[in-house]
Amino acid sequence: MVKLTIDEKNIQAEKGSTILQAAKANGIAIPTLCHHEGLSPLANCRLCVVEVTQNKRTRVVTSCNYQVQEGMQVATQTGRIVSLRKTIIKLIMGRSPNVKIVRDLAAAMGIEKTPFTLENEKCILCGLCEHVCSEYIGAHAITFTGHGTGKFVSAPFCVSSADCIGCGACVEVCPARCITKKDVDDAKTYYWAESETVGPARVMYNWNARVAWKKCPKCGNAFPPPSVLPYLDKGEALPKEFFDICEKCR
Amino acid sequence: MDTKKVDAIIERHKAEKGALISLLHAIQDEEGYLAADAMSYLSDKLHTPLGEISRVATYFDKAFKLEPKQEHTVRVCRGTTCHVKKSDEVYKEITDELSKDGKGFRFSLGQARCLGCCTSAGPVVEIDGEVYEQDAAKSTIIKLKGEMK
Amino acid sequence: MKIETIEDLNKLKAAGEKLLRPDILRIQVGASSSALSKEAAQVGGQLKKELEKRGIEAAVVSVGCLGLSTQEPIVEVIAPGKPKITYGRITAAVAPLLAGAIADGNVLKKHALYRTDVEELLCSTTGFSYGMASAEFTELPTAGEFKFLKPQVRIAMRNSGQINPESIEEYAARGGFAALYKALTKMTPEQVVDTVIKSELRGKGGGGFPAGQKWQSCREAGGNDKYVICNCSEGDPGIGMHKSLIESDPFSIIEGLAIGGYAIGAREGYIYLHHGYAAGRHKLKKAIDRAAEFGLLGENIFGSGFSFTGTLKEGAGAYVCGESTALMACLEGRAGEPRPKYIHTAEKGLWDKPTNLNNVETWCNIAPIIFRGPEWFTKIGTKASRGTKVISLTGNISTPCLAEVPMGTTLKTVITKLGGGMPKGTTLKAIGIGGPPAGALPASLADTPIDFDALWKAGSMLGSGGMIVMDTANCMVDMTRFFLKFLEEESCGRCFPCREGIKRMRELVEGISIGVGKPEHLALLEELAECLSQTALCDLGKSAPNAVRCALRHFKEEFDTHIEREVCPAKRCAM
Repeated sequence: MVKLTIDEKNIQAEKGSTILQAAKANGIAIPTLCHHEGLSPLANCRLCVVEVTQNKRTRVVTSCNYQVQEGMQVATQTGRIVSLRKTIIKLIMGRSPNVKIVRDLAAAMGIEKTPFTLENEKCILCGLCEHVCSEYIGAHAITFTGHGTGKFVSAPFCVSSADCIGCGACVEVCPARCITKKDVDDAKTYYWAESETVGPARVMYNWNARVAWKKCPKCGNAFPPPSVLPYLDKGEALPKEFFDICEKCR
Repeated sequence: MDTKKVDAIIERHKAEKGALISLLHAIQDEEGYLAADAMSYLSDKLHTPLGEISRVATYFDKAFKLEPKQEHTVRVCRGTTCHVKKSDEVYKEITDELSKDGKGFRFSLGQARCLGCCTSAGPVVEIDGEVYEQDAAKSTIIKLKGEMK
Repeated sequence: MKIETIEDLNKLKAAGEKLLRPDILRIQVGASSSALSKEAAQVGGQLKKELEKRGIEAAVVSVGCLGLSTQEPIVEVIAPGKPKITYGRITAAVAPLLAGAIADGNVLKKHALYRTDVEELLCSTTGFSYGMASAEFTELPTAGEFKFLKPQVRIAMRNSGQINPESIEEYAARGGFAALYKALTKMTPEQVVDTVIKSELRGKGGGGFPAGQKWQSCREAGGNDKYVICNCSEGDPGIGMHKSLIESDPFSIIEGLAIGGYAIGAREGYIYLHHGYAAGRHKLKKAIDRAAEFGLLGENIFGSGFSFTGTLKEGAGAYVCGESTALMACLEGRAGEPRPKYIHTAEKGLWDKPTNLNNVETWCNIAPIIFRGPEWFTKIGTKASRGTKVISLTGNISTPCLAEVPMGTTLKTVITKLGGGMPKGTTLKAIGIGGPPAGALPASLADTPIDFDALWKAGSMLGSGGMIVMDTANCMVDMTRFFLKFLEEESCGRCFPCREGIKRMRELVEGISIGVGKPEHLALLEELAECLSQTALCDLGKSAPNAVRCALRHFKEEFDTHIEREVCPAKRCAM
């Protein structure tokens, strides 16, 4: 175990754990937007910044990916940290003023409005959808197109995502709730073109994918892909054949 | 897309670790752009998810073109030195020249981050891969338009 | 022929000397790869024909770039037993005149720049002598007296413009591979690392981090798979600088990289540059192949047991890919996005293995440091910044050029002594050095020395060393907007502060430049600057605010005029 202090409180944390994990385990809240405990840290939103003092040197670091070290002193709510977080919130508000989680975070920090001209992006570009699809599911059905301010998430080359398995993990991890799935009786009526899928299917609108429900080999019924959240939230791997056998028969 | 050509390119780079960017460049050098079917074929042959190829091809949006080239490519340098020499005015002049008649749309006009000819006398322009000083560039464009039917 | 012993190397050296100082006339034609290079290629052929007409046989060789672009095409005449004469502006029209002067045994005075009797070589104990000056040459200044060369100390550029860059023999003639021989056969890897530490060499790519310290961390990291990387991709726009080193002396990069590989324990070296840079690719590929042919790359170099291969790898040209973790992502064939660096690349870099990355100019310094020892290097430059810096001088200046000056040389000296001062009728307003995040310093600070710490204290940074001179026709609000626009477009877009923040800073400065700026926008700019510099994921985002902070520190009045009077004094902004 590693001994450190967070906000002057003496803490013991597992070696190899992050400041964010140590804080959470001790009831200290640090805001995040792009973090999901079951996935490796992205460190994209930078909201989780804290001040770390080691060897008489103080730096601002992201707590989601900075490992705890013996004797370090962490401060999560200094004037400087709060000010930095507020600026980041104001920036995201400028991009996505109508996304609920952004408004909630702003309200929690006492920010009423942003000084920047408003856009209206539904996606905050946290990267969690791409991350869960590649790191956890392994389908790589979601990708980023472009770079910089023009960057957006899409199916590969913005056409229909052939690798999508319809698991809906992206829908469940998206903090902005801007990814839509729908289970339909017949995929053919739900799209413009060449859907070979007949019968019940899951439509993943954002990735232009129609994924047919699989037939359970045990009971013979078609079933929608089950939610991965019970395993993802605990950081556990999915059991074998998770998508191939229906929940009842598993 | 000629699968034999893509196979040959993959073969040439087989010893290279992390060869995706080199492969995309080689395909683009051969065909002029990265066609959708070539990308799917590459994904299959390399056992690399199409999502990864899409990520790399679209990240480097100045290097990789997903659509066929136009007849002539004009890039006005927008490096700091050329900016100090007012390359933005040169860009405007060329835009005006290309809008004059119906042939301008057959030119692809863009800006280059830096063409590396910073010790030249004035801002530089690259036309179909060759670098010209601004006056020579403008007269070359007029000449090329004249040669178009 | 494989070079395995010192005798073999001396034979290669002698072959090179025979090429540099042949029994017949040797004509060297040099030019940078600017718009002029085609003309330079023609002049060489023309001179050969003109000389043949007069019954004179000459070997005509293309050499690299001296750095004095306003005098190009530069032609150097080496007649047996006579000093080397360097001529400037030898165009197609002048070529016959020059041929005539050579045939008569005269100097074409109108175009002669300087003479070289004997030249000290950094990687050789003996100098290189051409011939002693007799009466008709003594009027000409020597290389050391020539005004363009006098303020310079050419370490990285030691061979630039002096040799055929494709000739391994000519490289060896000027001491090439002597440092590699010394390192591999007379020093341990730890001793090589120690030498670089003692030299206090700081990286020339922008970060200015002590190179020896990086080498040591990488050496100490465990494992057998390690990598050394040379970053040859010119990141900063407007300087065209590293091209010169790559095209004029590719072997020096290879030698430096091999020495680094030995010191750190890496068997593989990567040289990274843009695919679009065809000239550089060809020169480097040829040099790598040639070195391998001669056994100076490959298995068991000099019989030392050390094996090293150099591989050229191409990137797709993004500014952010100059950041070391982004560069490594490109080498791995992934999108060039930086990653958090809480675990350093010296421990986990390319393919998660210990990796040492340095800039091309840094690598070009290694061979002389090893050959001459670190004390020699520490005597050049300043206490905080040892050695020299290659400076690309461009913009509103009489003589744009490429030069290498000792650290500590002031910006003013570079502008007046190397750049020939401001063009007639123009006044110096600002000096940009270090690329877009470094902003620009005002004319009042022209006495600032070229030194990592001094420039940082002044509010700018050394960065890559590209100096861009701006006269009063430029507007600093416009330049700040320009720098921010560049950084906005080059941002990878991964982290929120940089992606959203640089755009908003640019919008604010743009508003100021078109006359809709408000006084409170300056405070908002500082708030964004603080946020990005503290929370951005990589140095692009962290240093971007400096463009604004430097401008507001030194040119606040100009911003105030745009805001309060809605006027652009330089008449550059579209108001």
